[in-house]
Amino acid sequence: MVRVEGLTKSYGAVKALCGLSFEVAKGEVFGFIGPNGAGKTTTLRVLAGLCWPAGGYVEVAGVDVLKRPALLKQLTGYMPDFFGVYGSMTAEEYLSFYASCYKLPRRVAERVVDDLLALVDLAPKREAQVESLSRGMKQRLCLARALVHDPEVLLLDEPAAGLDPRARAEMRELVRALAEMGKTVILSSHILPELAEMCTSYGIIHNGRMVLAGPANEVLAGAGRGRARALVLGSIEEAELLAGAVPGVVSVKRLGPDTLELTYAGSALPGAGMDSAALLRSLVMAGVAVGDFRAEETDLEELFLQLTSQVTGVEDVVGRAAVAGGGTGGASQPEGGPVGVEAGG
Amino acid sequence: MTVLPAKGSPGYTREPAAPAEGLLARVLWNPIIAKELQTRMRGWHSMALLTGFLCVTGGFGYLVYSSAVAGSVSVVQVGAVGDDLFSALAVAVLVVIPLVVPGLVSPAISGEREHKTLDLLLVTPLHPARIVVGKLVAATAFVVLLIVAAVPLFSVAFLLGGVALSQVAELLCFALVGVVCIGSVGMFVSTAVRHTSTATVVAYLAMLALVAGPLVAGYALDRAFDPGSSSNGLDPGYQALSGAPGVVYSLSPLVGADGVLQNGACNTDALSFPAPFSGTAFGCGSASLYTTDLGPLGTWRTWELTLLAEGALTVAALGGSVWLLRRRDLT
Repeated sequence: MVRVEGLTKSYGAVKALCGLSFEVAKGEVFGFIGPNGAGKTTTLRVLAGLCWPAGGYVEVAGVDVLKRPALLKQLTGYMPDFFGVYGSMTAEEYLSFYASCYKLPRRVAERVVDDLLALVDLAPKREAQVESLSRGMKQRLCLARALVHDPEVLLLDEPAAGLDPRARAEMRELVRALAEMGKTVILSSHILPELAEMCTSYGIIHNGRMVLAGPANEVLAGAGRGRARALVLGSIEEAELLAGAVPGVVSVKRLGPDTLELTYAGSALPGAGMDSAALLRSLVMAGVAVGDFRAEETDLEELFLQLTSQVTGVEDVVGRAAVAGGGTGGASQPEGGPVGVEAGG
Repeated sequence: MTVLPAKGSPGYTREPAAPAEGLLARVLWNPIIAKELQTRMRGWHSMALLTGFLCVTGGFGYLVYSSAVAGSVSVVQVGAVGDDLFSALAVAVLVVIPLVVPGLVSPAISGEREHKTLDLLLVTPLHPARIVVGKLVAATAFVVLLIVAAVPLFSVAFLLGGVALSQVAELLCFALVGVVCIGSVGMFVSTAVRHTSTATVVAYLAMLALVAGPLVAGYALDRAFDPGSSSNGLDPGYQALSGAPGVVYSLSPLVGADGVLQNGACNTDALSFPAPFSGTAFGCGSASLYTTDLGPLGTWRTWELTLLAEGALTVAALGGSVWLLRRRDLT
């Protein structure tokens, strides 16, 4: 549905996008993750037609949008991270105005506005002035605005930013409902647990490059580093030394007088070849007296921190992910696409 | 939560797009105008302003009329009273344009940008030109309404005589072109400047430059062409605003306005220019003082030249606004 290849964009001397590439399949909820200034908003603005890249290729629903920008506006609905509303209009007038911007006939527009107000649970507020709505309601109204022309692809930049937990939950429900309706959703967020609950695939962007992209389960299982806790019998110092020497173990940390935390290369990485069972076996074979062993799942937040905290670490993981990833599932790194991260970012 | 049926599912009832419209409808289609007028005209403010303006203008006209008929007025002099009244009302209407239009237009784009609603407009299929024109029409519509609402006041001048219908038509035409021109300059400023407060100040300064710039430039040229002229700057024997200085003077809306009011026959001195311009080339004199000889292009009335210049400036300012909107906000 969405294919981006080698996208580049600079703001003066600052390179916002350095050959960004990714793909999102129809019906996916693609989570864009990255630190501030990584290029998430710029990418979404390019996809929305608000920003022209210096180079690269963007395809939405099979259409080269850089050649046919007018069509792009029909195909995408965009909700920016910070947006304003026309406060003196009512919710109904607000949506009707945008419906008229998309040249919907009046009768159709009326029905669409009714449907959208119902969809975002603002039907009782249709006559209320927009300025009187709460932040969460305004956010939902803006989402309804992005849907007014029934776009194929929704671009949501930090849709849950600044919302209270209830409003965030409502927004999450809404995104899920839209995905069920067949919309392809690309959203960025800093609230990673939020993304973990919504997204079917992720793209981690750093310094304008896609560090890692793929289906949620593959990204979490394959690209990160596993963690496990081992309760050791006997000398903790000796166990620490032995465990550190086990191939595939990246680091060993003492958590208590008899507990070690082990970080190891993920199981889905060819060459690394280790899962939690293999780690336990290796530990025992290395002579570590293990009394209890528990593997911990890598969550999105941890993965994000791993990938973006230090450049060397990122390059390491990216190199392995590039080998492991490639063309599995809906959202994936296109073959041959740049995946490295520039040093010094 | 109600969920819309998915596209293609049995419950999906979204209708196809509207059938093709006529060329005129497509050209005139601009949802921004309707939306802006709807929000601007809502509430009591607009009606209060309109009422206030008509009261002030009417009161001003009444004062002029009262002072003109204070002494005994003969039948012959009634026409001159009518002309005085027309000029006074015209001045009241024309003064409103440079005072109000920059303030109304300057927030048009900068305000959208400040309130973060511009992006939401730019992602719609609306072309930047349509956004600029829609904003301009909506912002100036209220001033146009003020001008049109003042027209009935001119009927009093008709009752007294001394005013031709063509004069009113010329005045209206001049005023409306002035509104569009100053509005377009304000729109360009609004597009170029990020903050509304700055845009407002710059728009008023630009308007001042538009009015006073040609006078200063014309005066400088005049002195350069004829350094031996009298100390008031313009040769009293100057029979026509000919050549470069004349053309430059004509670019000022102030000169054009004076030309409209005099209408080629200097009965009154409605706009009293300060020295060095007073009582000379365009303050009072013969009909030829309100024309400019452009050689092979013939002789033009000053206000016609002003309109031409304003038209060109309008096109340039609107073109610049569209270009800026595409370049700054879509890059």
